Amino acid sequence: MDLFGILLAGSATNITDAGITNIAAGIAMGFGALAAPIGIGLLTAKAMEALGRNPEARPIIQTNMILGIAFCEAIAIYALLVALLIKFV
Amino acid sequence: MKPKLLIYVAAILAAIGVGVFVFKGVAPAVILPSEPIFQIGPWAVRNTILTSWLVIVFLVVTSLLATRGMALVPVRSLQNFVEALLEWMYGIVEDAAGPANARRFFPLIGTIFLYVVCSNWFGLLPFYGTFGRVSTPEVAPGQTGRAVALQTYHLGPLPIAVEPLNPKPIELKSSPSGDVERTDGQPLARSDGTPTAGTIVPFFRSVFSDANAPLSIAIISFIAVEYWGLSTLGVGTYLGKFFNLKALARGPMGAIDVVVGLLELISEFVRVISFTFRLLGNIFAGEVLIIYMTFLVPFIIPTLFYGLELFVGFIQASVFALLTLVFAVMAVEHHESHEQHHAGQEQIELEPA
Repeated sequence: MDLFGILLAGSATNITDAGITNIAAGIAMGFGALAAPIGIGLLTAKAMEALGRNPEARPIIQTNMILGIAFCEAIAIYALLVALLIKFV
Repeated sequence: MKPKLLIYVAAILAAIGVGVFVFKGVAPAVILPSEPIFQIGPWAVRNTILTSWLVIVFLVVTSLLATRGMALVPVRSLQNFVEALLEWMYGIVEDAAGPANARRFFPLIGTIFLYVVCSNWFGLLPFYGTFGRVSTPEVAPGQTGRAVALQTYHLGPLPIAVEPLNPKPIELKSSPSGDVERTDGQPLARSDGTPTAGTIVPFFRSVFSDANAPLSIAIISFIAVEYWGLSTLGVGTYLGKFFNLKALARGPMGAIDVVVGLLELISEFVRVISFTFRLLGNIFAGEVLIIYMTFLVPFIIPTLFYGLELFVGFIQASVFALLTLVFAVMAVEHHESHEQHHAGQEQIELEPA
């Protein structure tokens, strides 16, 4: 039961360098993009809650929220950079 | 639907369609390191250094113009605008650091913010990435290189190579003698020396898309934060935050504090890396995004991405400056009063506007 052989049976292609590079870049960015929005969403939800309870504290809440979002986003950007490096370098 | 709206929508769709089907381009080459443009002696001047000089000249000239004939009540609108900008920034710094520390921190924080935001926004100007010198890419033996067919016009004695409207991609290979030649057999250079195919190395490229630029301001920010911490608290107290041997004296459970201190020391250094890659990733990826969007859908759609890049450039500049500020404030505060600070609830003091 050579599953791999069955998968490739109909095609005439091999796994090329460029092909696996594309797959790797996609996986890298895909996993990176999984967790970052969850973090950002949680942050923003809590910030909205805090804003609702105390609208006068808006500048401080907003500043700290943007700061926290930047930290979260940085991780996704690292993943993007790795994907770009894999694909193009 | 109103007919006028229908006409607008149809016009936009037509523009997009014309762009996609008529004006096809060549897939752009994504190059992470910045490219050298010319040599001054042994130094290869790169395109990002050129753009950083441009931004510096712009900032210096603006400050000189804004402070010429400075009056207590500003008469010139430029002075008024610059004052408003600085007041806004100083307000944020003062909120986080307190009035005494704000005077120390503000020059560096303000400079970082202005330099980064101007560099990022300058990167969206139309002359960035569009013209430069022609270069023939190096092709290793056995590999193929990519180039674009070029037409040459002569502006007086100066040959100008232009990518035609629907450029043709040319593959290059390495000949047995080591030179680069075209795979379709045509000569690479014409009889007057101008190239028939090549790539264009742009003269202007956004400053922070080169890895060295964010690294340089990250290092400056790191040195400044450590200097402020050491000068405010003294070398012994400041290093005592990281090498927390006093905690061991309180009992064996203090070993956790020692480990936490060492982790904080490591995180001080990791901050440099994190600053660098955050800014580099955002700006470089933004550049690649715009170039690729322009390649895929030449009209209308890239405007949306320019808007995104405006926003991202501003946010990343403010994040860099704010994070430096926050780390500086953390570095100069006394460790033992940390708990009292929280207990006293004096964190949020809102002054009426």
